[in-house]
Amino acid sequence: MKNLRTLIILLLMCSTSLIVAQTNVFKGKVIDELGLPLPSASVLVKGTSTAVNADSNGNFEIQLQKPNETLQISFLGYVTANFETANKASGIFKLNPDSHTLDEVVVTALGIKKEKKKLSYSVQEVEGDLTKGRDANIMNSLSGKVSGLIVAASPEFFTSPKMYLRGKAPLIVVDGVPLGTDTWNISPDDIESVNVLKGANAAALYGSVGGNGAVQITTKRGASNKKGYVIEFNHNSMIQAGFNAVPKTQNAYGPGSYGNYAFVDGKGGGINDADYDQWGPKFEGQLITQYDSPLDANEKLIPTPWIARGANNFENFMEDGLLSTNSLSLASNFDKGNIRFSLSNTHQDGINPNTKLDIYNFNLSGRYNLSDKTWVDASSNFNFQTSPNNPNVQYGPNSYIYNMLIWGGADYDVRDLRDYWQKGKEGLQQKNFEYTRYNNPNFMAHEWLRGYYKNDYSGQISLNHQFTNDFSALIRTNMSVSNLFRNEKFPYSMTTYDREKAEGDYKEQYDYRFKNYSDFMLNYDKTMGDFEIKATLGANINIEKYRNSYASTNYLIIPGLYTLSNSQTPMQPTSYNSHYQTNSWYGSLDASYKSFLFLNATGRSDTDSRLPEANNRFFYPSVGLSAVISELVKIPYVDFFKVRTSYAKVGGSLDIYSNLDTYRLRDPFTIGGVTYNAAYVGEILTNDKLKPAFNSSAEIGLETRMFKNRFGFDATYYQNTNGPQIFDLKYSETSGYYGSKQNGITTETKGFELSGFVKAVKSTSFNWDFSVNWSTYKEYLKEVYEGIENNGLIKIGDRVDGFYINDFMRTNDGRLIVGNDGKPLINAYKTKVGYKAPDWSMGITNNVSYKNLALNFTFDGRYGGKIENYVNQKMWQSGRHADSDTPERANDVKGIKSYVTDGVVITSGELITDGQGNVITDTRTFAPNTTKMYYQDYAKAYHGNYAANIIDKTFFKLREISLTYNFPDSFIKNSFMTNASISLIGRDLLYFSKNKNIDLDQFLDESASPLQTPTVKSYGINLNFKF
Amino acid sequence: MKTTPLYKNILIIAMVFMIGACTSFEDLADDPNRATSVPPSMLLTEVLRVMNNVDDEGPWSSAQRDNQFWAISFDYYGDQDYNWGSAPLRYTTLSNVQAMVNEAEKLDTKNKYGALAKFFQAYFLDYMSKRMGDIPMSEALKAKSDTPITKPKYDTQKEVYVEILKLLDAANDQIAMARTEVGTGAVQGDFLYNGDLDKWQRAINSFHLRVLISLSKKTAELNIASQFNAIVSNPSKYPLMRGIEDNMTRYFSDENGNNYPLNPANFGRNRNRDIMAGTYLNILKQNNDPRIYKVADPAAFYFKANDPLNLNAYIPANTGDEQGSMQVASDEGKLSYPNEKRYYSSYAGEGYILFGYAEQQFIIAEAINRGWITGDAATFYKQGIKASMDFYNVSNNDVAAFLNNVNIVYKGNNTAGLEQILTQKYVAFFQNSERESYFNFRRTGIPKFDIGPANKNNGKIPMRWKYPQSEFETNSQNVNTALIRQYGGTDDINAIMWLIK
Repeated sequence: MKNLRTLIILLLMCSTSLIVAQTNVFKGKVIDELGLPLPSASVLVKGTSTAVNADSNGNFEIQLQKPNETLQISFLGYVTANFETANKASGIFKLNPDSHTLDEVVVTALGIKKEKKKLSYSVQEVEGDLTKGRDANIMNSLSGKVSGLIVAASPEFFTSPKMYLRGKAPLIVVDGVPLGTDTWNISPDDIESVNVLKGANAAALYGSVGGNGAVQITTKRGASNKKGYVIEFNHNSMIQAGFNAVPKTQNAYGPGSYGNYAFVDGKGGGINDADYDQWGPKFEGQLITQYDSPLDANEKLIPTPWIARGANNFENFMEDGLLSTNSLSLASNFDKGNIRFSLSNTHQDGINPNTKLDIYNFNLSGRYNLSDKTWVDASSNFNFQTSPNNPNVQYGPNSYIYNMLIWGGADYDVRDLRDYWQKGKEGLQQKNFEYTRYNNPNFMAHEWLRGYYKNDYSGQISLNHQFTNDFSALIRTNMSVSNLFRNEKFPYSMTTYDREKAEGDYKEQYDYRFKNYSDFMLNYDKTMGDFEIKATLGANINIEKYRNSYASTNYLIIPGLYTLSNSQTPMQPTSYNSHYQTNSWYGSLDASYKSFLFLNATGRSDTDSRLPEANNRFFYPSVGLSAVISELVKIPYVDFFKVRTSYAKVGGSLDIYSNLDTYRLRDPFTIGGVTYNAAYVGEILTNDKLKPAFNSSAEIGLETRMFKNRFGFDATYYQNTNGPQIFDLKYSETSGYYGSKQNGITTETKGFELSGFVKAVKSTSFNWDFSVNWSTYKEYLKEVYEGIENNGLIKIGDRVDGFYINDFMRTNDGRLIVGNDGKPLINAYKTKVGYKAPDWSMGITNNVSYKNLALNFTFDGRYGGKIENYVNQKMWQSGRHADSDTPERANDVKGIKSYVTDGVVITSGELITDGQGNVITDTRTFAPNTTKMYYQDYAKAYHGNYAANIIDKTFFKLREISLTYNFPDSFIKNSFMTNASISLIGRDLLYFSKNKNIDLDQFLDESASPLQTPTVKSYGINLNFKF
Repeated sequence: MKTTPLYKNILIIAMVFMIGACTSFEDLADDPNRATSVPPSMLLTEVLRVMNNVDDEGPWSSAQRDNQFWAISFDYYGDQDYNWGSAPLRYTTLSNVQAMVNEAEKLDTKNKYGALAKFFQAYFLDYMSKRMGDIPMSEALKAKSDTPITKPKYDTQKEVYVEILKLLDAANDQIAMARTEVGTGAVQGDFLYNGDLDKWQRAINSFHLRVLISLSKKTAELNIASQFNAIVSNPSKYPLMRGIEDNMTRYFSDENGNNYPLNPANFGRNRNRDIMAGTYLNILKQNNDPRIYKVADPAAFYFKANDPLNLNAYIPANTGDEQGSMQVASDEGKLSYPNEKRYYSSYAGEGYILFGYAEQQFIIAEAINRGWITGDAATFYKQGIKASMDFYNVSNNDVAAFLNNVNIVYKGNNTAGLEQILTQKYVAFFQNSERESYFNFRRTGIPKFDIGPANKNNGKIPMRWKYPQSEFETNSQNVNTALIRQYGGTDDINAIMWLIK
């Protein structure tokens, strides 16, 4: 019972007192074959649990119970060796590289550690430090570092990047538990390592959620140095300033249309003074009534000089961002286990004014050895995310880009509108340059507030028991709970789409999410002669619950009172609840013959509550084989050569409640005081016989290292069969339904990944190594459904990301066909202009060190693929595009039509097509277009059309760069510190693309870009101290 | 306990926790957020919402521009280039009509909902067929049947109209029966007539007349005249609308989701871009029509305060005009806008008439003019005009003066008289009754629609809409068969369908 009480104390997360026995201190240094220090080498006193890691200079100090102990020293890629301390107080220990049996251990699915050489599938560990050149979001630090993984960084404040592994969204796993993370509720400083399990082959044991592979995060655990504990402090500060991509504007013409503008009330009372474009008069100092013109004795506006007062409005309005992170951790190893506590705070001020984010993270983890054979491991994490304002960046009057760079002009100076309330109407009416569609940016920044407050808690506890040397068991449970509250204060006189009455609003939303993942695992590991068998059998239960409630006012009665009850008319709140569970059995078997041939197999059976009862239990296997050829045959210069192949199948569920025959509700509407609630039948028929979805994946790969581990690469070719999926089989709508849920649609992704490293220079003072990651994939439609040959416009055999648009009408020799008004004609039928997904992506990581200085940088990007540049299109429509300042435009303003579109008109005949645009007969004859038109009309009809804005998505970025100075031992020796470094860091310093008005990083296969906040460069400093 | 190893204790505790966390899968299967059954009233609301398609075809919508009632000068918000595409399908709405019938099956209101269902089937078949031509009917709506049909064949337009006329007769019979049922529940969810079956019956018969007149080119083929006569001559069996109070009207208000499309909140956005169109305004000008002062504002540039009623200040834009020049003229104050007081000063605006008494009276006048039935066409013609004048609250004196205008006095059951009836019917349709004015133009050529450089359909007003692309992707064989049968295989918007041949 004494042990149980101890356990309870641990469970309650009360810290235990650390008792360090009376001991001798032994000092040592670990070096490699060249005499270079091996930083963080592991040192274990054999037969005890006393262990330390060497510091960055290979030095360590360890407590010895006896003067003569055996030290077991190990380092990745080097032969583990035993040394006797032989009554000495210090020693230097040299390790030899292990070029034959790279016993590199990686964390595989479910947190099971395996030797990398035995794996038959592709796993890549993220090299380098993730915390120096950091971004607010840790996932952005993975960009370019793993082949096949695309991290599409979002330009928006407090927005996670989209992750694509082999073109699909991977699972994110923390410490072997597939509960995911919102990517903000984990402190970067708590991360020990990240490795990526590529594709279903690697992640099959995670079940359906692992079908696209997994990004696995392993958190730090207890460690100690000569004092018995390690305290680490890290500070990182970055300034975010200097645009990488920002829309460029013309500042020669102001608001209006065809050169006409006069302000009267900004509500349509003047000439084009409301909801206007930027096709107005030229800024020439002429006198025009403006929003701030003085009034004469009759209360009429006195015209004032028309000049580009606000050419730099956007730069004047936006602010420099600040990202600052502090983290402190305490870690210790002691005779009965280990413990680690950390606390971190991330503070960010966004580049949009009055935006802020604070994340506080508390983490506690520990292990307690109940006996030699039984131990408990537990961790918990508290995370608080607070952002009192995070602007809406969607296209609309809510967006600064919309208000300032697209539809707003240079006729006003945003700094003149900093005092944003109208005198005498404080709290009621903003002061602005227009009063119908647009908002004063200062007013938006300080009065339209969108808050985000999230509390996350997660905890995990596991019990491990080693029955015999061969046989062990693990039982663990992991729970995560998150509560999210969001609200929005929308002030009087603010307008946005559908809220034109402009009498304020208030919204609240609550989200609750509960996840529980528990499993039980039996492990068996036995070596018999040349054979080794490692088997795992497990069971797990996964539960997920979600609740959401949302309510909004319909305009406010009392201005400035933000409560739900302050609504002009009653509104119906909404709610949503969901709950599902999966029960699973799984097993894996690894067999090896000598250190040469390896066989992996897994199987998993799931029972999933989201599937129809008849088919809710399903099984899927994986199998793989790998051979280390270099163990068999001696190949000159080659240290290691392995080939591998594997096949995996993973079953998948369907979206919860998506296969139930239920009615849907429309938003209610009120007529004459009566509220009407419309209900309609689900338009997709349900299917009781629906089976689970299945994905399968086959891959082959080879890994090699040569020239004494100076060069190596890993190449993988894979073919993923995505399907048969669960999909909506389209019916003719005339059948009464849009379709039915069916098993069908199979696509095939074929891809190739290459990663390689070069240790170009290796010496005692100068080192240079770099690694390259390159990948490509294409996804094709393979099957749809019996008797169906197409999915929309995509036919079997086509790439699924074909980009179809309504293009301009052109003659056979490519000339633009225009109408009698000179505007281009648009094809009513869609044609293909290319593909959306990139051709390939790549990343290069470079590390150079000279003595105590280290320079690291990452350069990455993607080549090919097309997207519509929506920002460009909108800027042409508005008349704000930098290239719209043409000679013909100057004529518009004088009332002269002078632009002649370069194209042809139809003089006779017609084009007759079938119902899908295929030509039946074409008798058209053409003559050159001679119609003179306003440039404005041309620019909007041509450049302002979707078809004129299809761009190439190629871009590259200097993603991160850091210059680190490690303080020399001579400096540290006399201080309280054991390790100290200072780094100058930069992120996203250079952006290479043909299109500089948009940052292409966030896109993979979208059809059009949304508006985006301009992306910025980050510069700063990182300080790291260990005590 | 002493001999039990510690890990076993913990194991047992852990197992208890894990089992406690489980929930029966049966309890998890159902969606707690949605209903498997709803009152038929909620489905009726949905069907009416679709029928009363304000966004696309209501007041100041693009459909009313195609009707040439107004024009837009601002190309960013729209155009009137007549280069239109496909028409919407209404089969999923017909699935909701069917669901309404099924939900009402267990209730004593089943005949009431059943009668309305027949009307809706007729309404939506007509809605789709008059836009496109042949449509699926006999094999349609069978995706859920025991032998599902997911690619229905197309029925000929003639077959569709024969069925529509049958359905409307059956709807009248069933609603007559439902009205006599005592002690039964009322129809709920009806924002047009608030469940008043008398008004519904009149509306159904009035609509029946609309369908018959739309078949004026098929009089002989389908015996239209006698069908028309059967209704008009038997008011006890086929009661018709008695006045504008029987109009099928959607009212707007300052309530959530129910604002008139023009209102104070969008005045600034629309004012100098929404222009009165010439096809309509010129008719009012020519006839010195008092409605002009209700619906339009004079052009500021030409307006003289000492002569406020001068019609020369009412300058429309022509639908075919190039938009850039239209915008410039608007900015110079040289064009007439919608009347600010009537259309922009409130969120209620005016009611939107789906079909009404004025149209019904003009239809009867036309039938007399065509000799389908006997009677005094002038009486019905004048009742139609008066009903429209009452909609605008024109004073009785002004109405009397207008009716005595030489242009307006009925010229007899001849072509000139027919043109008067159709012209005044067009005027009465202003901003109402979805695309009915276009369909009347298409059938009769009256009034003459304007065509100009902004037209992007080879200088023509189209005669139909295309079939949706989704049909070519999901039912290509049948839709192509229908195209070959009707239009030589092309989905041309200028092709002529059976209805107007």
